[in-house]
Amino acid sequence: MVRRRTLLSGVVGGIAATSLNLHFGGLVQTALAAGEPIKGGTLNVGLHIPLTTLDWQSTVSHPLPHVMGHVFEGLFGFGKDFNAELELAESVEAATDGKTWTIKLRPGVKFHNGEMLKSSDVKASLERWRTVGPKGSGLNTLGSIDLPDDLTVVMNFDEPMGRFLLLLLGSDENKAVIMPQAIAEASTTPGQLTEVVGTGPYRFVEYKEDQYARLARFDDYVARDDGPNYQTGKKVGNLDEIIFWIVPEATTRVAGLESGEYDIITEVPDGEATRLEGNPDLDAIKNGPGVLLYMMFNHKVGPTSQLNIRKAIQSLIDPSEIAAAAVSNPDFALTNPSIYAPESAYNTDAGSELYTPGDIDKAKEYLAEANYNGEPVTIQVIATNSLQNRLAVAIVEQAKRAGLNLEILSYDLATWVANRRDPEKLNIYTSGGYWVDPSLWNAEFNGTFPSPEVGFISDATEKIFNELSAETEFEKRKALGEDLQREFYSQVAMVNLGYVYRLVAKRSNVMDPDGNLALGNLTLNGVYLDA
Amino acid sequence: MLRYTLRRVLEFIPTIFIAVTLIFVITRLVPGSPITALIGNQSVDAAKIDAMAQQLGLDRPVWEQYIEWLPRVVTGNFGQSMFFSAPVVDVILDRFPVTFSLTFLALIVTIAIGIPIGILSAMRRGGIFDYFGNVLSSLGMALPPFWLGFMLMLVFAVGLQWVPASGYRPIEFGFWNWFSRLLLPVAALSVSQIGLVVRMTRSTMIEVLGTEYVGMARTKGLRERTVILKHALRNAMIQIVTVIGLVFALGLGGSVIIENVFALPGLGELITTAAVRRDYPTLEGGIFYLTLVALAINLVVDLAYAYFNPRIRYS
Repeated sequence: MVRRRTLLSGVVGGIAATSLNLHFGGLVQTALAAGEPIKGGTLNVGLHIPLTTLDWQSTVSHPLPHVMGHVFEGLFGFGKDFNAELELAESVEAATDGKTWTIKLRPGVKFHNGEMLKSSDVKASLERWRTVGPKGSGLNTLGSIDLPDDLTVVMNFDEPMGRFLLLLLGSDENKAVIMPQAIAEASTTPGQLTEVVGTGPYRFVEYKEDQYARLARFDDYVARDDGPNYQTGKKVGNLDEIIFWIVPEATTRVAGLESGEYDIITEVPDGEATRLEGNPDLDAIKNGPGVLLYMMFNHKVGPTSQLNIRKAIQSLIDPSEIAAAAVSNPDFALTNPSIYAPESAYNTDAGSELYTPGDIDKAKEYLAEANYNGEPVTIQVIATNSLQNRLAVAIVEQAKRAGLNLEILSYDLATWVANRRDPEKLNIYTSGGYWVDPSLWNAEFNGTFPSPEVGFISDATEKIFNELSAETEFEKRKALGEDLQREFYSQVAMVNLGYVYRLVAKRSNVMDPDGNLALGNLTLNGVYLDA
Repeated sequence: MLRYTLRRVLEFIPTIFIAVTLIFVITRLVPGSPITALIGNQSVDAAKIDAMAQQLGLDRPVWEQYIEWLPRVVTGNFGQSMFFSAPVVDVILDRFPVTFSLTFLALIVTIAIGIPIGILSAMRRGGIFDYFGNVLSSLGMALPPFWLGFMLMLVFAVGLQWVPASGYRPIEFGFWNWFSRLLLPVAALSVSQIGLVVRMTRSTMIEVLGTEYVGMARTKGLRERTVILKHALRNAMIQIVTVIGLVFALGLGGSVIIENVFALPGLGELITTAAVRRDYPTLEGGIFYLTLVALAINLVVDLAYAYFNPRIRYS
C-alpha cells in the first residue's frame, strides 16, 4: 500500500538551502490568484479516509496532518523547498559541539484557548511527544530541557545532533506539535487529548466520527511577518470555516466535486486527471514530491534473506513496466535511479551502475548462484489496495521471465501489517513514501523497519547514519547520502520500482495564491473562495 | 400467543450467545490486532507495541479476556471503542439512525412498488404488463447496487443537480436536508429489493389465484377486487411477509455498499471499518445489535403470520 509517508527534508536550519524545482509536466499546478484574497465562506474538503484520532502527537496515520496541520504548529515547519523552517521558533542556535540547541520563541503567540505560548508549553509538549509519538523516540539522546525564561528553550543532548530540527518534524506525519502545558500533562494516554488546542490559523470545532471534522478561523492568530512558505511563513486564514468530509469512495468524491458539494478533494485517481482538466469549473493539481514505490524484503529469514535472490529480483524488475502498471495516466509516473525524491537536492545517480533493471540474464545468473530451485517466494498485498495489486501482478509477470516463482498473497490491512512484521510469514511486500534527506532513511536501514525480526541493517549503513546525525554541512551530507544509495543497491536493501505523483482536485473558484496544493500535505493557508 | 412470544424471545438468548462468542473467537483468531491498525504502515519499536497491548488489555490470554468480557456483554455493555474514545453503545446509537432511515425508507418504497406490480403481473399473467414486470424485476435484481448508485449520482446529482451527491445530515438539519440525501441511496438499494418482492408476490399470487377457494369466491359472484385483496392477497401475504422480513434484514446488513458509495456513516460502514481496524468492542457490539434487530424482525414476521392467517395457532 502506498501510504503517505511524507518523509520530507529539513536539514539543519537552512544549511541545505537548495531550492526545489517541481517539474510537473503539463498539468496545472496551482491557481495563482490575481486579485485580493476574499475573507469568508466555508470550504468543503472531501477526504479519502476517516481520522483514527485527533492526537497528532501519537499517530502517523493519514489524513490527520491534512486537518491538524491547520490547528497545530511546531517549533519548525516545512517550507516550499522541504527544508525545516522556523514556525513557532523565532531563532535557533546550536553550540559548536552540536549538543546544545537554544530556541527562542516568537513573542505574542496565542493558543486557541486564549493562553499565551510559553517555553513551559514547549517543554511539556516535547516531553509528551517523546512518550506517545511513534517518531518521538528520535529524541532518545535528549538529556534535559532547560527553560531560562518564558520564551527560551534550551535542549541538551548527550551526543551531537545534526538532524534535530528534522526529528521534530516527525516526517510530517507525527509532528512534535505544541499544545498548552496543562493539556500536554493531562493527556497521558496516547491517542486521547483532553482538548484539541493549538496555535494555528484555524481552531478545532468538532469531529463527528467518520463523518466530518470542522475547523473555524482563529481570529487572534498571530502570523509570522516573513512571506508565505508552504506550511510556515506568514499564514493567513481567509476562510470562516473548513469542513473536512469523510468520503472514502473516490468516484463519490469526484462526483461531489463536480456537483459543487466539495471544493477540494484528495487522493483522486490519476485516471481522472484528463476528465477533470476538461471541465472549466475544475482544476487538477499534481501533488509532489514524487512517491518512491519500493519492494521490501524479509532480510532475516527465508529466500529473500539471501543476497543473490534479492539481486536477482533487483535485476529482473523493469520499473518502466511497473510504472505503467501503477498509474493510468503516464504523467503521474517517473523512473529515477535515486532513493531521494526527484525534487530533492539529494537526488543522485550514485550506485546506479549496480542497478540494471530488466536484465533477465543477470537475474538468472544470480538465481543460479543462489541455487534457487523453484521454491515459491511470496509477495503480500492488501486486498483492497488496487495499486499494490497492480504492482504485484506486474512484478509476478516479470519474475516469470527469469524463472522466479513469485506468488501473491492477499490480506486485509491489519493482517498485512501484522504479517509484515512476522519473519515466518513475510517474504516481500511493496509500499511507498518520499525521502528528500538521507537521514530520513534511518528507520529503513537501522534494522527496525518494519520490525527488528525482518529489517535490514549493515555495518556500512550504521556508520553512515552515525556520521549523518552529526554532520551539518550540505556537501558532506550529500556525499554520505550517495554512500547510502550505493549501499541500497549493493545490498539490495529494497528495490526501486519507480516514482508516482498524487492528484488533488479543486473547483476553479478556490484560489491558492501560494501554490500549496501542489505540495505534500493539504495546506490551506492563504486559500480563499473567489466570488 | 403471549406464551409463544415469550418463548421466542427466550430462544434469542442462546442465538445471541453463540453469535457474540463466535465473533469474539473469530476476531481474535484472525491475524493482526488493533495495535497493527493503530500503528499503520510505520516502524514502531517493540516496547511501544507492548505498552499499547497492555493498555488495551490485549496482553492477556484470550480466555481471560473472554471471561472478563462476557458478563459485560450480558448487560449490553461492550465497553469503549478503541478508535472512537466513546462507549460502543453511543457509537452504535449514533450510526443506527442512518442505516435505519436508509433501510426503512427503502422497505417502504419496495412494498409500495413491489407488491402492486407483483399483484398486477399475476392478475394479467402472460400479458404486456406481466412481461414488462418480469423484465423490470429481473433487471432490478441483476443491476449491482453500487453501479446503480454511481449512475444515479451522475445523472441526478452531477448532471441535473437535483439532489446532493453524497453525505448524510441528521433530520435536525431540516427534513429536506435529511431526505434529499437519502433519495438516491434509497433508490439504489430498493431497486433490487423491488425485483425480489415483485417476483415473490407474482408467483405466490398466481398460486393462490389458482386455488379452489378463490374459484369459489368468484363463483359466489364477489367482485374481483374483493377476491384479490380480501381472499387471495391475505393468504399470499404469508410468503410475501417472509420475503419482506428477509429483505429488511438483508438491507440492514447489506446496506454497507450503498453507505460506502454515498458516504453515509451507517452501521454497516461502522462494522466494516471496525473489522478493518480490529476495533474488537465496536465490531462485537455492532454485530450484537444487528443480530438483535434481525431476531426482532423474525419475531415480527412470525407474529404477522397469525394476523394474516388466523388458522395458525401458536402453542
